[in-house]
Amino acid sequence: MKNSMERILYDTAVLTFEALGFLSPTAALNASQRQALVDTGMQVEFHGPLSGQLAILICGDILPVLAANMVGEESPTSIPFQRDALGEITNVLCGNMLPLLSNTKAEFHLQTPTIISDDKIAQVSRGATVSVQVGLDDYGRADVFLRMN
Amino acid sequence: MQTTLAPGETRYESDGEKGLKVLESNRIDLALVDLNMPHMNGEEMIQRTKQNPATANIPILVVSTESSETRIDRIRSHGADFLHKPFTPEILRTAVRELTGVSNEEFDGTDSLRYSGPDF
Repeated sequence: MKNSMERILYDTAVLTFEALGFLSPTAALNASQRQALVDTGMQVEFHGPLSGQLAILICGDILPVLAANMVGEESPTSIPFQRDALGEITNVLCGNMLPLLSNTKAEFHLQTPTIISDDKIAQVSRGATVSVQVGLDDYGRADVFLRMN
Repeated sequence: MQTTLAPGETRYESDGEKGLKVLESNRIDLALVDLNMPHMNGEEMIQRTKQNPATANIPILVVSTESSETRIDRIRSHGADFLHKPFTPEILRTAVRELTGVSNEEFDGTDSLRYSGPDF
């Protein structure tokens, strides 16, 4: 059960980063990706046939690239825009993952994504039902956590 | 109608209530609406837009990860179109052209939408 949840979470994460961020996700992490530090995190609560929370921690200073790619810009975007971009990625990942996890096309309701404060970053992994890591480009990483109620 | 947007300008609002106010106080050619928004969700915003004679004819495109066919059918019955996220820029451009009637020639080289219709 947990393996299939991990598979769904990982596959949806890869598709989301590819489709929205135009980045090349990798399953096997290189040394730079493994050692990348957390820049920021975003979480979204969801309710419906399944309820819980999805959180993404972005690591390795990849968020500026991700945000710029999303809107076709070459120069870095502002911090608030980068956070908006991460919120959108979190929203899209969660929204596309839920029908696969629940194996239904029932209605889910997602709350507005919220930024995870620095003092709460370390707590994200605790209580997670499943988690996956996705390498992004050569030096970035996304840690994705799913907590089911 | 008080207008605060210039031709070709876009406005972003973070919740349905503010979005509705923008529609009610500007000449808007197209509204892109998410479903899960604070204060007023997308469905309610669409219903109120379509119930108001002043805004009923504004084309609305819902952009969402929603996969419930019941909910998508409901959105369409309110008078909005639907585009599933994620989508490519080309898919969005096609949808925008179809809903606004803007021709291919009216998109400039930087891929931005240039308004060329009459001024009101």
